[in-house]
Amino acid sequence: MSKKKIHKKSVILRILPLLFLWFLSCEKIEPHKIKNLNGNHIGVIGHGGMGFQSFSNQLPHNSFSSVVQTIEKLNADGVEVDVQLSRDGVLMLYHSELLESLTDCFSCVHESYAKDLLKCRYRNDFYANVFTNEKIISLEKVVNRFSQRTIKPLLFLDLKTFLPCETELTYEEYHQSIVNSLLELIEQYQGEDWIFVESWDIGLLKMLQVKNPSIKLKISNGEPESIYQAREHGFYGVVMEYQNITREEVGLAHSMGVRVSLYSPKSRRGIRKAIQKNPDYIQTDNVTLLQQFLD
Amino acid sequence: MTVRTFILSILGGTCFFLLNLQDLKAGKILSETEGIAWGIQLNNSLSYTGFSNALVVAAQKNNLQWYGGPRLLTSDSYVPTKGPWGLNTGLTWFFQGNEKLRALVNLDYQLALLKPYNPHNLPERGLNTTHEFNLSYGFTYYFLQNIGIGNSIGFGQYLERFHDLQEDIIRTYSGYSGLIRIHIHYSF
Repeated sequence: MSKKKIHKKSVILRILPLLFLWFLSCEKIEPHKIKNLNGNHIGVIGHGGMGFQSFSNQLPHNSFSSVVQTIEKLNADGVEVDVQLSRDGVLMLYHSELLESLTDCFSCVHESYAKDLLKCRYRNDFYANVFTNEKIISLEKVVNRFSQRTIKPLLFLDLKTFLPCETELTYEEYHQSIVNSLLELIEQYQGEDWIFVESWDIGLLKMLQVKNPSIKLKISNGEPESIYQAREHGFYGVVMEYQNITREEVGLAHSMGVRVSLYSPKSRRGIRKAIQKNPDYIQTDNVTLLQQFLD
Repeated sequence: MTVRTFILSILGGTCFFLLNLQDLKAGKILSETEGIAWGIQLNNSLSYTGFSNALVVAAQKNNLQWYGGPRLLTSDSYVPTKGPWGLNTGLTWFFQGNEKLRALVNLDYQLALLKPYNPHNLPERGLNTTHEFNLSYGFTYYFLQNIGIGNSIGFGQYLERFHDLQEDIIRTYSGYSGLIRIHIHYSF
């Protein structure tokens, strides 16, 4: 009996230090060490909404529930969404070139009418198929929802300006249409302070800037030179993959008044690295993990 | 959890169930216990709220077992956001079995208490909560007289109550949940 007790005690004595080490291993970022142009706070931006899908996050990217719940449920600072223009000039949220890659529809967004796109159901993976009934939505639906909030969430619009299907449209015509639709929407909802436009195409951003200089524009071509381009054109900031920029380059951008958004970190290691670079915003697939680092 | 893991676990559990069906049928239904049989159980679960461990007290009377105890969520992401503690309780019915192997049906409830993300120190109205209800089936295999190991697999629903801090609104969400569990039981 006494031997049994001694054995139990030794097991506990071995487990306790391990538990103590586990608690010590919890990482925390000190908020006072974050220095950026966003009030020394890193904005948590959900990539396509609540990030990549899993059993715990069954919602597809760019779906209404995913985008809205990032703000209303997770209390994130904002969301990044992918925007394309339908054949009849309606801005829609969709990531990929072809509809069949993520939904039960076929063709491309630019060759489909909005009324048909709204019927396309996400079926990109097991979770979307089994657990959800999410469909493609218009950008206006999200803007309208967010415009009713007292504190507006940040809405980063990643313009997808490709024309993958055969079309009579030229790139110039398509760009002009997308610019006109965006301007109309932003002005209708007075979104200059909370709607940000991202594109790799500087020409497209210039078109927007000429028509409405108060819109916040960001270059997303992923090149470190974009920092200089953003300063030269007077854009709000740049969007970079977190591994493609150093802490010093982020500091350089800040010294020029250029905000930096980093994207793609989702692992614990990646998020820690991204935070240490002092960006203004992080667009992440793992919103809750990033929040745990920052809170 | 990947889709592959999820499907393989379900298939594995089903195969295990079918392979042992004859043995279970051959065994008699568990006899009545004298009074309440007490024990403790470690539930290691994968469900809507990710991985979690619960150390529960179990009380068994005849073929019905109740268990309950604290739960610690161990997933470091997807759990919004801090304060990953909760509760695990439920009822297990051992519908078939013998001294070694017992087939069970389990009605499980899991609670997760989560502190909202609040970097701007807005007024909070308590903790966010996630409730999960799952119905599962599984086994416990007693490799020693009073120590058994088992698994269970099932589906259910989750119900969440989250505080939208900026609008100061409590919002509720619900959807499908699931449960894959490995448990270790020790009878006193």
